[in-house]
Amino acid sequence: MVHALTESWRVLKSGGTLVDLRPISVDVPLLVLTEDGWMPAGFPDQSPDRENDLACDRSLRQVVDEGRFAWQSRRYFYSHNYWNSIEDLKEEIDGRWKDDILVAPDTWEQAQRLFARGRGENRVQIAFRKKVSTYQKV
Amino acid sequence: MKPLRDPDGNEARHAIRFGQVRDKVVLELGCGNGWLTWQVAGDAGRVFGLDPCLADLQEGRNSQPDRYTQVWFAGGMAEHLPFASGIFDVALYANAL
Repeated sequence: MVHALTESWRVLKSGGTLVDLRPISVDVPLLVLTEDGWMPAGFPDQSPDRENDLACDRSLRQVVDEGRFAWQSRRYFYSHNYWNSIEDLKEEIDGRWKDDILVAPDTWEQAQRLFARGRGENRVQIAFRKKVSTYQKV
Repeated sequence: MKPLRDPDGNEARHAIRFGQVRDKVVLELGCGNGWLTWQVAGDAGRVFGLDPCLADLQEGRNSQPDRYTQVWFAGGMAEHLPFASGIFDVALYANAL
């Protein structure tokens, strides 16, 4: 990771900006959205990604300590993601996010129950908490 | 079916605002299928998307909106960038570090 950041530093112009935008590993609710409103099914466990999160922070701290970058700003926000079925969400979590997010069996069961109970076009939502940090090339 | 990802455009808005990408030369590292690349391209001067996954890059190229011509995708790793020194204004890692 430090190697990649050092390469980024190399190709940036003097005074150029490094932007690090990524999810932070805090638990956010899995919501089932129906015509009647939204209902939480549980909280997916995002702690498996915590180690990677900390490793990113350490790498950025290192390149700042080495005098390559100076920290500029940080902001937190939410990024909403929607799925048309529980199966679609499951497929994504079991595939792309298999090392990052765990969903307990009772959360899946509750999500299925709420989804089946809803009328109309139901959806599932997870609003990931993200942060964007910027660093200036020194 | 694919998820509807960030329909409010919060990720792009924050990348554009805090990266101050307007009219700048941007390198997006780990650009994947260009989902964010194209959104940033609306503001940036030129954008280069880099990713090791060639299938994702092809998907990115295929989804090129006609109005954006200053966007290029290349295969590669962030640890070994195929670019000369000091040529980019912004290096963007979006969900990629």
